[in-house]
Amino acid sequence: MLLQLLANGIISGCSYAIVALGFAFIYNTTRTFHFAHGGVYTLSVYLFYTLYNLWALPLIVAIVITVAVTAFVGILIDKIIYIPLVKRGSSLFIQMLSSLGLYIVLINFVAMIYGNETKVLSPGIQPTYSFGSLILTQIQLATAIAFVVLFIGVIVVLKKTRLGKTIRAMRDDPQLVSVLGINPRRVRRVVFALGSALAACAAVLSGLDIGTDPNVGMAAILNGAVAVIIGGVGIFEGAALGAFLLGILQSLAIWQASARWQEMITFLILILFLLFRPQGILGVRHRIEEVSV
Amino acid sequence: MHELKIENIHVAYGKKAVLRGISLTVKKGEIVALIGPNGAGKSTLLKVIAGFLKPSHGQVWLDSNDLTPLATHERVGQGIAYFMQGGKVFHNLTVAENLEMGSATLSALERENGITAVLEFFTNLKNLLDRRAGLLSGGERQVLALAMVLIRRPQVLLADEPSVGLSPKLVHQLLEKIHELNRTWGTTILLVEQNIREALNIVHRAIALINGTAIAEIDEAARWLQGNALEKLFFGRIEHD
Repeated sequence: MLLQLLANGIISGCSYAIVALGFAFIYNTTRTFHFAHGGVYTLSVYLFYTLYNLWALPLIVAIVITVAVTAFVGILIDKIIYIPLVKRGSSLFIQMLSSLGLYIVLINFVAMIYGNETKVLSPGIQPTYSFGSLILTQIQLATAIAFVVLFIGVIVVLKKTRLGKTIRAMRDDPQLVSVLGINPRRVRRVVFALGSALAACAAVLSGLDIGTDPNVGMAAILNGAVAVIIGGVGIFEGAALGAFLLGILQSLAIWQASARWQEMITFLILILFLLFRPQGILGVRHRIEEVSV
Repeated sequence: MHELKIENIHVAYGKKAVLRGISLTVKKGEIVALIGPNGAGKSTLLKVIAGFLKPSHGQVWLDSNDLTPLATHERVGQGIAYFMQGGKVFHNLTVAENLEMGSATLSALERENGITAVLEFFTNLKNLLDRRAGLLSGGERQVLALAMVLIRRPQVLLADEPSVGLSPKLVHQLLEKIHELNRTWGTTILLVEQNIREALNIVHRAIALINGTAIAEIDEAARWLQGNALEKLFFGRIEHD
């Protein structure tokens, strides 16, 4: 029982981690608290529902189109909402409020078209696989594999490619990036596209697993953002680690109490981290001259 | 001729005028210092030339190219390098990665040549390539910051207080390095420096700013290092204003 719950927690963690990596791409690089990431998540799962369930496109085609369109939506959000705010010198708080507003617009747009009721994306009973006393569904297994592939991909891009180093550099100092002849808007476009594409991957997997409704984005963005904070802001591996911690603790909470207390657990962990380890699990305290820039 | 020309630049923060119609020319191969008290507009002028601030009026030219409508990264492509105040580096990247960022938009060959050239010029960086930039000392960080903007072999270097926070010995060494850069690479340099006496030792000319206006051009730097000529220039003017 405990082993199964741990496995369920880890699978949830995989899904949270994919969202968290996407959120971290955007937040770590642009410092925009991209609440609308939750709206993008919702939008993408409904786009997938339209392509796969309503238009009956093959699964892979539907996934590819969903991920590509969602990446484009991410770029559009930056271009239409955030860039004009940055140009006007708006504070990060104003950007966050605008993002929250956009999130509400997006989920209401989805609810207006598709209704508020839960949609089932993969009807029937999913095939399962047994590993000793563990039982995992096909989608759960796919989620775990997708996480491993995406996580390795993200880390390789960030550490080994010039694009990744530029993204990490932009996280440190966006002004300095432009002083070195790099177009910071182009870097922003890339991180919004990658971040949104990751949200789409998680949304599709989660949708296929447990269905969807217009409010799924809120839980996704909250778990993702909390995972980034408790993992250590600025550290992409930390986001994944934070997501696993959340997934496992939530799973244990469900076992001991009820699924209703899942969100309480999420925010309790967040508060504890903010009080006792604000730099997160993998975060390190920086020298004063590093913090002050 | 790579000549930097500033024409009638006006900048205001809100209603407060910071630059009031400044014009100046820096000829190819010159080192020109902008000197003046805090708040005179020296750093603001460099930010305008680098493209971080849009002037309400006026133009910035490099030879016959009007840089005024260009963004910062586009000006870099035109040959402008900007050493930001405090010697900014990417703290979470290693020294080697920082240098790679300085050459990110160059071809592989240009990148290799550029990095080799700056490592020959700043030899002490060679032993620090794997160190995270956030762990460098103040002096090492300033040198790295300078190396990063020089990889592209810019025509014009805008240096905003490169020696800030350094010990007098390091200030002297860094300014000497900037002098050597001008002599060996022929880089045109517009320098803002609080250590006026040190700066006047290496510059060809200096322009004194007060309240966003150029009040004097100093051709014979050595003359101004004698007695209290500088104090008279600034304090006399401030009292007068």
